Amino acid sequence: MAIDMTQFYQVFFEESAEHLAAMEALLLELDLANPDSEQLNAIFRAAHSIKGSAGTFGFTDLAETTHILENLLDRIRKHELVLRADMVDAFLEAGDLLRVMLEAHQGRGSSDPSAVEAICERLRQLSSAPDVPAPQTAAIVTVQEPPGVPSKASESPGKRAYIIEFVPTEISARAGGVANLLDDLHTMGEVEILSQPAAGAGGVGFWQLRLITAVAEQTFADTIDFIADNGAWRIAEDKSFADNGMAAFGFFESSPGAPEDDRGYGFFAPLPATDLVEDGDGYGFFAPLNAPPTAVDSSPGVDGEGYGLFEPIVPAAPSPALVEQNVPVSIPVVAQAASEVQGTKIASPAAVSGDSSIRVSIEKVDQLINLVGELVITQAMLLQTASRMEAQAPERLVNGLAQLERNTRDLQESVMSIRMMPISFVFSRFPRVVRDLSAKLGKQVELKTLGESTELDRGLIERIADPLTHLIRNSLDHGIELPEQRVAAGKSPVGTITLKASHQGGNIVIEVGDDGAGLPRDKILTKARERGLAVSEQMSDPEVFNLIFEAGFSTADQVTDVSGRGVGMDVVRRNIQTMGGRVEIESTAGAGTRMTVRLPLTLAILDGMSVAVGDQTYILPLSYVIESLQPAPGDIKTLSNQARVIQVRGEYLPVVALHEVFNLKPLAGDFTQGIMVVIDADGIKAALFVDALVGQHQVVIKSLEANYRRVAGISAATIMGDGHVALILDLSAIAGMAKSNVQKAG
Amino acid sequence: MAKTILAVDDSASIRQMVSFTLKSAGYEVVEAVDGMDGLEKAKAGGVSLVLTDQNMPRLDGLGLIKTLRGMPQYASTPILMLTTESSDAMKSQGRAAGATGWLVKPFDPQKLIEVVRKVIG
Repeated sequence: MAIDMTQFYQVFFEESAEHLAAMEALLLELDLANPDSEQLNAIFRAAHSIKGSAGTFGFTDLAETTHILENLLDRIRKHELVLRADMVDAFLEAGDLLRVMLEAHQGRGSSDPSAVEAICERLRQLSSAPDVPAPQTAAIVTVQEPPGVPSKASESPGKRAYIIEFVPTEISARAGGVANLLDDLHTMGEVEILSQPAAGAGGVGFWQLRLITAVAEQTFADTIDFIADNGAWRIAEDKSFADNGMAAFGFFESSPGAPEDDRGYGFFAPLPATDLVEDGDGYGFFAPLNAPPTAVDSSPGVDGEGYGLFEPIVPAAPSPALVEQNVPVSIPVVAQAASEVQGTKIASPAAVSGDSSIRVSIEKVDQLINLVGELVITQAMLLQTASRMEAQAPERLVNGLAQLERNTRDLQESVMSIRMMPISFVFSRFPRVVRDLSAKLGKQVELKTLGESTELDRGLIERIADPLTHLIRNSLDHGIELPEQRVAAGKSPVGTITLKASHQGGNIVIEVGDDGAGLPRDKILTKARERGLAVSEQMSDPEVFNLIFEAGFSTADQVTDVSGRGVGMDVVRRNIQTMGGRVEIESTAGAGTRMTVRLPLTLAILDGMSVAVGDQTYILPLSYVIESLQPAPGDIKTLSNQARVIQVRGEYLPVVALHEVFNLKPLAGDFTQGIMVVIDADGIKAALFVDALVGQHQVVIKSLEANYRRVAGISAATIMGDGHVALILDLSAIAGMAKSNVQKAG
Repeated sequence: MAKTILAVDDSASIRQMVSFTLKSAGYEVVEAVDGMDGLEKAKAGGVSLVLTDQNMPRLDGLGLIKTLRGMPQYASTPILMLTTESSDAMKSQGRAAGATGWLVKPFDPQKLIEVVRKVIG
């Protein structure tokens, strides 16, 4: 039966990408001086998983690279090598290349084999560094490792036998390379020449050696590679060789030299049906089938490792191999395992979160949201019909509709929450950005992130990543000073970039702050003049700072390849605006800069207040509305330029008469007959004059641009319960308009 | 009735492949995402064969095998380890834990069916 493996590729790509992302995050978190064992294990496991799956699905390039990566990680987590910064660099780089390779397999871009080979070589070199002889640490390692990780047996291996086969190059053979190799091997252990070229060949030809040694294979592999540098060599462990008690399972007769993975399976004991041990195939059986696992002779080197952990739970365990010498070591594990076995889950939330989710295509979710949107409209329509019937509506119908409204709202919230993702999905990429960039720029920067669990719409998550990356790069490049400049300015040499996300009303607010030099006001003004912009010294700081969002604006003295190419901030602002958001700058010379990005919580649904103006209904986003009041005669003052203000709680607010803005005939004859709705749009307050308040609804946002065109003062449209289209007001724009009207007056 | 196989692996793609392969060979398959999950699913019973990965979060393959072997209903159920590590140390640990046998990754679907057939027919 042929099974089409390509059907599993997509899942493989996704899970590998997740493993790579997890690996990168863990690597960045690692404390070099004192790496956490659990983290090292998790990193190892990520590489290991990719390798396993990649091999299975035939992505040999991925499998090979992860194999080398895994080897090095394995040695580090076993404390055979000490973790160094250059290793982390190599790991991160390898992760990047693996990502590129994954992408290439998915038909996006291509991977560069020479870069892959280079990183593999670097990893190999790091891995072949001398061992750290640490017999004392072995015990500690055992404590920290999860049960079952092969530790002692592989850490302090007994002697192993290797079958070495090679054909030396003619040059090295004639230069006595083989003799040197044999001398080298003699120093490592017992060498037996199984086969060699005829005497007259000068050493050129096929060599087959058997080496029994305690040193790692890598140690002599390099030497052999040197004399047979055309790659004509292989080393295989000779499984028929038994050292520390392994001889008990004498079923490993294998053809010498066969690569282990090619064989890969065998039987420890005869099967009832098949008396023969099957070699050369990739699997094996430890015990006769249909029989309980029988007692196994404990070979101390193997059994002593933390296996006692399950013994206290299952005193009647059938295998004496469970009896343990070093029970104290495994006690913490026992406690956890015991309670887990008894059904009390003590699982780390992080470990569970990835597993308790399902993958659903975004189209399905969007379709669901659309349907719920329609349901909301229908429900609102029913409610409106019932309210028109007033007393004639049967009570049960009214109650049922009220229930339906609650259900709909709950359903809508649940469905919307499917689309919500924590912003950590975006934030998680920045430690790497900051690390790489600060190294490149010779700056010392610490990245602090706050509010990573703040959720926002998936659509926004994807689109906010690039603008935020740009803001961070900008802070790093232009904001944070070089260490010596910082010290000279009396600051810590290490700069801080703070990324903070939070909910504020109906918005997500993301701040990118740095404690750098602040924006250079004079430089910006000079630059603006050079570019022919209308500027003056009287401009306020915010106005000056906003100039950096103009197209092609860069104040960098030198164009760096980090930023400062003069493209960017205008693009950043445009991107954020198309998401319905805004970006603001605050900056203090010498103390730092803070960019604040405000985004709507979601793109699809809005809590709105509907107001009547003339014969039209408009929707005000509820999050902007502070209060509503009926003005008394005399509350409203008219300024010299016809702009009106109203005094509300001691504050003069600009008045915007919506019927004037939209050119409608008001129902209310004068201001005292209508309602003033006080709004606060990003700190700008204004009073909107409307004829009446209609009600409060959740509305499904329908893009006006997509269906008609962009209209100033209108952000979108919606369909009301009665089927009419109502426009949703862009209150920021309207408030801004009101403010500038009043200021012109002043 | 088709025999049920419990497939424990933290890799979704491997799980999917194993599951698909065994199902197309006529077995029922229950999937578990790690050792702990495997244990939970094993408790439900009705499992004729357990296939488990070694390297998994929360509870690894050897731990799972040990625990299962301690449960009377799994005292003699065949358990195969699917592992990328085929060192002697690994095998002897697997054997000590009570595994019935091992299968080295990467493996192809045919090999998997072949081995499973050998064990539970």
